[in-house]
Amino acid sequence: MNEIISSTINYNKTGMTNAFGWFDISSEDRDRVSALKTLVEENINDIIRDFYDRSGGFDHPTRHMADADHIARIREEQKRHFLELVETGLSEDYYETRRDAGTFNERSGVSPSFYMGAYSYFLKRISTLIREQSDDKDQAVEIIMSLQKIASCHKALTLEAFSNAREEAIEAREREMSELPVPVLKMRDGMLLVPVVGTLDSHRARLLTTRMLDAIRDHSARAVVLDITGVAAVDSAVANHLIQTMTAARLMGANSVLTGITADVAQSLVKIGVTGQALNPAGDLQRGIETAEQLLDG
Amino acid sequence: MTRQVPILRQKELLIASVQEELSDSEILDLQTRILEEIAHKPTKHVIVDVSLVDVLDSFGTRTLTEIASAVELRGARMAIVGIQPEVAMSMVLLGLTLETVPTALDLDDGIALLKRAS
Repeated sequence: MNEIISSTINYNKTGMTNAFGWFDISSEDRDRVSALKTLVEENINDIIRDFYDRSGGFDHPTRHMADADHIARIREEQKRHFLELVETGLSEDYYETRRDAGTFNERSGVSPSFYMGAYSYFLKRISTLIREQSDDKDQAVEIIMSLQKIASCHKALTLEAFSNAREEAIEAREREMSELPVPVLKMRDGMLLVPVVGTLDSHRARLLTTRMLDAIRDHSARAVVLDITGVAAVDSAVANHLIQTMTAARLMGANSVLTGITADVAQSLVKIGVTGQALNPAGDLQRGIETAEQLLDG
Repeated sequence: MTRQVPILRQKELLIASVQEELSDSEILDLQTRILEEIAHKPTKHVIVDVSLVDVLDSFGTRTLTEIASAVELRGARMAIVGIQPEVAMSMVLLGLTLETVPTALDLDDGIALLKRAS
C-alpha cells in the first residue's frame, strides 16, 4: 500500500519536474518569484479592482456575467490564482490546484481570452511595481524574466486543465443526449406517435425499436407515425435501422409513416441510396397523421 | 411424435393456431393439411396465428409464404397474425420481410384485413 502511495507521489513529482523543465524554470527563478509574495499580496486587491474598473478597455466580464455573485466568485478565484503563482513552493497538490482553476474557468464561463487578458494585465502591473521599487535595473529585469517564465508555465497548465475540463463537459453532454428517453405516445385507438429527438446511436436505436414494437402489441396499434424532425443527422446505419424497425412493425400488422425528414436529411438519404418507398414518408407531421388515419380506416 | 397444429373452420374461414415452435416436418404437415382442407371445402380466408411462437426461422417463413401463394391459387386469401416484437425484429435482421403475405396484430385484425381485401 505504501509503495502505491509513494509511487503516485513520485509520479506527480516527475510530472512537475517535467513541466518546470519544459519552461526551463530553475530554483533561482522560483526563489525570485517567491520573494515577490509580499508585493503581490499587498497589491493584488487593487490590481483586480482596477482590472474590472478599467474604462473602455475591458467591459467583457460585466457584460456577459450580469450576476454580481458570479463576478465576485470569479474575482475571488482570480486573486487566489495570482497568489498561487508566487507560492511556487510546489506542494504535492500543485497539479490539483491547476486542474481546479482550469475546471473553474470552464464551469464559470471564463473564456481563455478573458483569462489570458486578466493574466497579462496582472503581469504588467506587477512588472511595473517591480521596476519602480527596485534600485538595480538589471536585477529587476532578471526578476521579471523569472516571473514571466513561471507565469507561462502556470498559464499553460491551467489552459491544459481548461481544455480537459471542456472535453469532459462535452462528453458528459453527449452521454446525456444518448440517454434521452424514447417516448411512444398513443394518438388515438390504434395509432401511435413516436417522436425521435437527439442522436440515434446503436443503443438508442435498439431502445427505439423495442419500445415501438412492444407498444404496438400493448396498444393493438395498426398505424405508427415516426417523427424524426429532432434527429440531427441520419447516416446509413440509422436509415437502415429505421427501415428495419418499420418492416418489423409491418410484420406485426402495423403500418408506419415516417415524417419530419428535413431537407438536409433528405439529401443525405438520397446520397446513401435510400429511396422513399421503403420509408413510407409524409411531408410533415400533420400529413403523416392524416396518412396514418387513412391506413387505420382504409 | 408429431404434434399437429389445430385447424379450425368457421364457415369459409380457416384458422390455424400454431401453439409452439414448429419443426420442419411439422410445418410441412401444416402445409399439406391446410391445402387439403381448402380443396375439400369452399374456403375464402385462411389465418395462421403465430402469437405463441417465439422463433420463426427462414424455412418456416418460406413455407408460410408458399402456403399463402398456394392458398391464393385456390382463390382464397391468407394472412399471418400475431407476430411478436422479438420475432418481428429477428425476422427483419434475417432479411425475412414477408413482402407478399399480409400480416396483422391479432385474429380480429386479421379477419378484418382479409374481409376488407376481398
